[in-house]
Amino acid sequence: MKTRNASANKAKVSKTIRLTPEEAEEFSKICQEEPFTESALMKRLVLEGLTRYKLEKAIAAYTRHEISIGEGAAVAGISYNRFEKELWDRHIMVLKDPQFLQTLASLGESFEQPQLSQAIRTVKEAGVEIDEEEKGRGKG
Amino acid sequence: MKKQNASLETSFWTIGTRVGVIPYLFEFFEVYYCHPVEEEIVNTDPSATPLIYPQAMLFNVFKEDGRLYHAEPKKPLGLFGKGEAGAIALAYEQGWDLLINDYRPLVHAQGLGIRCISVPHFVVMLYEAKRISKKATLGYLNRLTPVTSSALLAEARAVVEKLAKQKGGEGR
Repeated sequence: MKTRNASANKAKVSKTIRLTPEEAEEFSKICQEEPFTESALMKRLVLEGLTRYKLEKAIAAYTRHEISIGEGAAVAGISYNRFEKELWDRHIMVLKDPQFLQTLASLGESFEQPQLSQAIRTVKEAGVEIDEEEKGRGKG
Repeated sequence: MKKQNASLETSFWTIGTRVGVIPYLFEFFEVYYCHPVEEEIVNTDPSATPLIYPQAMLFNVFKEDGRLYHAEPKKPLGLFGKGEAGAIALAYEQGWDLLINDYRPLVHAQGLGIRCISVPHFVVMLYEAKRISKKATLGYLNRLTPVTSSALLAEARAVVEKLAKQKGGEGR
């Protein structure tokens, strides 16, 4: 039975960083408060930082409409569900549709809902006012 | 009323579950999913494997219930994420509607001539079909506020108000 996962079996690569004496002292203090060796804590902090960095990069690209939710999840290295939750929690706009009324009218025809087509015609003629309070919602 | 065939994209299912309208879907659509979409809906992060998201649980229930049909596109798009690429290609190849709630792939699919139905579309449809009350309709639209363009929601609410007038009284 395999007791070690694939990641544990991979060859490790060393990376060196240089800290000021103050930074090194602060890091040592934190290590004393945690049940990790300095090396293990440093690795953990680097990996957490990488995860956060990739997520922020993906969120920024999504907000600029450069990528889809699926692509954002891949960039962030997390599941679709988790990425979508991040967008929802941060109130990032995921949907706008210039053809919204046009599609709705088409659905009214397909599902034999003549009142829907009539209502859409009236709305199109009258135009739609957007509530000032609503304008600020849905970033992106 | 004849049901329409539709290819399911992950964003519609996920946002639709958050809002609470997914169980109504099957009265209006024969819903087809491809494997990449199923994987996106069902999968959690490796670090959180015991968790099951509500959208995943709901998908499994409807799949076991036989209300979700499986179909794969012949040639997925070479664009977007795997679920989006599969779902758009499936709708395009079959001439079906696309259930989607994500701006960028939605616009691309519209460019291919695919009719793209988002969650707000479906909410308004449900009101017109007298499946939900006006209060419930506006409540569902309000729940979409954090992630939906204010212009789109204003159009949806305006249509609901017109429909309510047509129905008479408060439109129930």
